[in-house]
Amino acid sequence: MIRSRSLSAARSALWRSLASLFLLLSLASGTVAQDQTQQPNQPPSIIQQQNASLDKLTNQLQALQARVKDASDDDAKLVDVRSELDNLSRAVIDSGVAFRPRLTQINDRLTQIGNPPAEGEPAEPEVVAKERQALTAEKAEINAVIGRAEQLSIGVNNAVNEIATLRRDLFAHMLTRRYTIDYALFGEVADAFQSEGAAVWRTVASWLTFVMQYKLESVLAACFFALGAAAVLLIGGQRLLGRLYEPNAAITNPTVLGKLSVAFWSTLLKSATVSLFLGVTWLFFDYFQVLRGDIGEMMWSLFQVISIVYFVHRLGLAILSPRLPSWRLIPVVSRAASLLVALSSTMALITGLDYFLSSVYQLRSSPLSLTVGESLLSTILTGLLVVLIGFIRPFADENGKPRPWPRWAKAIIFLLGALIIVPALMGYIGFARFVSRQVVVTGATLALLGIGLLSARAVAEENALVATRFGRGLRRRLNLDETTLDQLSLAMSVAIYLLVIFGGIPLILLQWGFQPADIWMGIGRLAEGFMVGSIRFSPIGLAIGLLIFALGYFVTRWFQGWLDGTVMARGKVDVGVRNSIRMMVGYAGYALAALIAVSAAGINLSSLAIVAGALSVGIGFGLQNIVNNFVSGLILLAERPFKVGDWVVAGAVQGTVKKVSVRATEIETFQRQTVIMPNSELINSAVANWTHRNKLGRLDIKVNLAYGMDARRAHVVMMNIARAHPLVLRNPEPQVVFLNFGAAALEMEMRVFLADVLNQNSVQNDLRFAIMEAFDREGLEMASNPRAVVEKKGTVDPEEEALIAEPAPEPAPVAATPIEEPVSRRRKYRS
Amino acid sequence: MMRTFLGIAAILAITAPGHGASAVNLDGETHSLTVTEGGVTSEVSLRGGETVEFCTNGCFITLPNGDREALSGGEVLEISGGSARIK
Repeated sequence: MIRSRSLSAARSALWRSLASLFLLLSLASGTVAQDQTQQPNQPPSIIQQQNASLDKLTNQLQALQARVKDASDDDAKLVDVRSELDNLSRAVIDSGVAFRPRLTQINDRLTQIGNPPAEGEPAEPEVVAKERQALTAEKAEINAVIGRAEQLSIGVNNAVNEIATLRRDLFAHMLTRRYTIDYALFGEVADAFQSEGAAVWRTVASWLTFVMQYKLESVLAACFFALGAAAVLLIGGQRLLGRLYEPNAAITNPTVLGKLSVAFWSTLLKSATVSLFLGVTWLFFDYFQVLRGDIGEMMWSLFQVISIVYFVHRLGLAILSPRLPSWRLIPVVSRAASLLVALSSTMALITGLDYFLSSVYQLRSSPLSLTVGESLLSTILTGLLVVLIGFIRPFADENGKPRPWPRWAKAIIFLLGALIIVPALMGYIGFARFVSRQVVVTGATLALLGIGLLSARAVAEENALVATRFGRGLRRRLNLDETTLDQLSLAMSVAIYLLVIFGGIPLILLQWGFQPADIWMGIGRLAEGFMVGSIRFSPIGLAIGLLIFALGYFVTRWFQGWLDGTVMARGKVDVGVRNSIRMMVGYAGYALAALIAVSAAGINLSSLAIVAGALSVGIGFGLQNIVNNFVSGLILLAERPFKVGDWVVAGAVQGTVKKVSVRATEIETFQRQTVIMPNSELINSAVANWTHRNKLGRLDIKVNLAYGMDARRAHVVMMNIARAHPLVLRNPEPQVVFLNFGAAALEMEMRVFLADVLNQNSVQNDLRFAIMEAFDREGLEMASNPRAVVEKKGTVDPEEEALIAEPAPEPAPVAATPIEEPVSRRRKYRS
Repeated sequence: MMRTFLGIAAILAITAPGHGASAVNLDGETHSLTVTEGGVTSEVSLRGGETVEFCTNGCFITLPNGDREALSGGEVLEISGGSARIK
């Protein structure tokens, strides 16, 4: 091992020295190469092109590095630069990859020419030596350019790492920076607030004057349009949703789903209306050029804050519904509901105002003390509100009296409050602000997700959808039965879960300081796939695989149906063959779809083959039976010893074949019991099929004639009966066989052939009745063991009794048609 | 919640775009490649007959004979007789 390593090291060293020798040679013969590459009319060579593009990329990198330095305190800008750096890195690699065709050409040619002759060998022609020199020179040049690209890529990656470090430091700095809080600060804040307030007021006032004087019509028009748009949304939404957008006080016990949909739609519709109004107003202001200077930015952030605060407020109202207890989603007492809504809305308002003011300070580059003072106030207020929430008694106990939060919830609430207030008082304003914003925004997001999850659960409940108006409408419109609707509701619930999870996680990540670009990049990478060990896992590939399999499945189903229903039905193909072909086509189609899907999902079939090889021993032992049955099923489908509808006897099982599938065959016995019989048994042991080629079948009826009777007479009687029956075939002719001189009887057997053996039940009934009746008439007796005579008292009249005592009368002449003779029959039974 | 977050973070952390390149050594002896990926240069050594997956995000390599190549991922590098071919 060690030896081979050292050998290879020596070899690679040799290669390197050879390469450097070539490099020297090529440098020495640079003139030759130049002669070849720098023809006046030639387009720029790949080396020149890529050199130029690398120059450009280097410049871009420098520009981006400069931007990193400028924006070292702005997280969002750093993220932007980072995504540009990612693109740059890709471009650098592409520029290196661009050499591949030329490199392949050179390498191929060099291999063709071969190595220079060793010492002592005959010299090669000069042309060959020159060409080799030229090629090696070009290769060396390309290597140099690729080396340059490599250096550049290292530079790009260093910049990416630098940004990561900067962002981490920035966040840590924001959280850990401590501001001194003392009396002087309050004085400073008061002064700054006055001066800044006056300045902002001046700006706003001058803008208002400007608007009043020059732009009043535009402003009115903008407001009008915005109101119009909002009204369209609100009225249209209300029309569309019916009474779904607000709780109906008349309904005292709404369903969970009803409550949820009202909560959802009322929040969405009203918040969207307000946001639309503000957004449209701002757009039109911008369009009419009403906004001047900082006013635009300030107004934008104010509008954002208003939208969000209103949304939080509506959300609180929707979940807690202080006025209508029956519509409350969380079972809290009414007083607590109003308090909770008030507190959470106030908290949102304070946080929103803090956000708005901080953006104003940033615009005006206000003194830091102002930011610190204002943030201190707002964070402490938020913290106090959080603590106040902890004092609320939200739930009712058994007696209906309010009781406080559970201990753990209270502990969490107080801890959060402390996490905001204490750091703020200690001067860690950044940290306090971070936590308080998280509490408000993450809280709202979690509440929203909670509604989503609740509704997913409610939809999944049995008959939940059927009870709603939407469900009823769906049912009427699409003609669905209850079960389908229930399954639909289950699918809907899964969809809602997915939506909540995939919509909610990015929302939460945004709160935790991830930038949208980060999330996008993450999602992109996730979708492209990642390596777990040496196995690549790619969600998109997997989804595509599943999609392809579903597609293949449906195409197969359709093809099966078409082949069976259209082609084979019209071609008058036998039902059994149709069934076989249908099954075969189905299995082939599914297998094909699965194969394509597996390879589309990016799962390497060869690696599966290795696994299959390893498992084959196990399969040989463990799955032997299954495989046996499977192969047997294929044989059954191909060979068709029986088909669906045949009457078969397999071992102890006798019945009609209902379905031949790949592992087992379903046989329905005449008692209507379904027997699932493994195919291997049907292949390995004898199967009797009554209806294999045709339905012709023989029916045997045994008759034991008593000794002393006229056997010939009985033969004639029975032959006549057999011939007289309409379902008995003339050809082959019915037979009556005198089988045996039995110990107790003359054994005879009537054998008749039926066109359809399935009729045997009714035929044998007819024949037996007829034989008995004819024997009675003829005075022929069947042999039977003597048995006790049971006479019911008072049921036998004296006349009959006299008859019984007498010996049997002479048998009447043969009559083909049975005549009722109740008296003689009774006598016979008693003998 | 936190667990979900951590899970996602972990997935994001271990996530790397797919289409890694692979190198296969068809020779009997060990060869080593110099791979510059993500700003870090490292040696990848391949025993005879070994296949290695590397370079998930595009990289530069220096072959045993001193040639340089850029890989964008998805390529298969075959080393035989000390020189390499890219497929």
